[in-house]
Amino acid sequence: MTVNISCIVFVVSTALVLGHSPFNVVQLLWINLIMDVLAAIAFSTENPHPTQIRKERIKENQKIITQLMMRNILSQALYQIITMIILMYAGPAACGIRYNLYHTELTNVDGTPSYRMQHQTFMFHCFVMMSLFNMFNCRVLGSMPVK
Amino acid sequence: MQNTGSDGREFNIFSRIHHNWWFLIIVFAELNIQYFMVGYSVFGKLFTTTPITFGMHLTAILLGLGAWGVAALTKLTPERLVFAMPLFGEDQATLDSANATSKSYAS
Repeated sequence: MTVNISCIVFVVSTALVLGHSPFNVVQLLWINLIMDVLAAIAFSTENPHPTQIRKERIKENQKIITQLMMRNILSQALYQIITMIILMYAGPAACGIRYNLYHTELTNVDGTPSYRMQHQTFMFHCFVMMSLFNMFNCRVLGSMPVK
Repeated sequence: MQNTGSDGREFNIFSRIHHNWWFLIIVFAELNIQYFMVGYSVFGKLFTTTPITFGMHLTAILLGLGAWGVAALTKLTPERLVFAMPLFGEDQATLDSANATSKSYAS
């Protein structure tokens, strides 16, 4: 859910500003695959936490996403969005691969990858790394005392 | 209450990680494929990616570690603020009417 929030906000805002998406379709599919399908498998095989063995039965009308989860999701999404926007606009200058954000194509005239493609790969890699490291965070809710 | 702090907050994200081999297998498989994707130009045809420099690799890993820092900071937020946050979902009236409907079908 973190990835969904941050990916939507970042991709839509960048597409609105620059006129083209920062990630291409296959990269977005890959992000979706690792963070939704495979992460679901990874977490559904997790055993119940020994300290969270249900003290009382979960009631019919309790929410799936608790406030603790929402807190973690929103903070991680905010971190990812801010980082990606900084990388988008300050990244090329910082890495020495300045190019025209509006007009540069993905490949040069002779077919070799341009700086834009390298920048796109870089942003993609950073996004996936943040998401993958976040998977370790998701295992632990940072639970408050059981009352 | 193992692996929890004095006030019940759990900061160690690696606790019991070896209990679930599927989690580790999936994460490391994803990491491997991701590194192939940004490290070798062969994969560039499929994902429209290109090899990136060492500094970029380093930045990506540091940003990933930053996610752990953000998570640790998040867990420091006071309990009072967390539970003041509104939740999304159906309100009680909607749930009650849905339950009543399903009971009428069951009988």
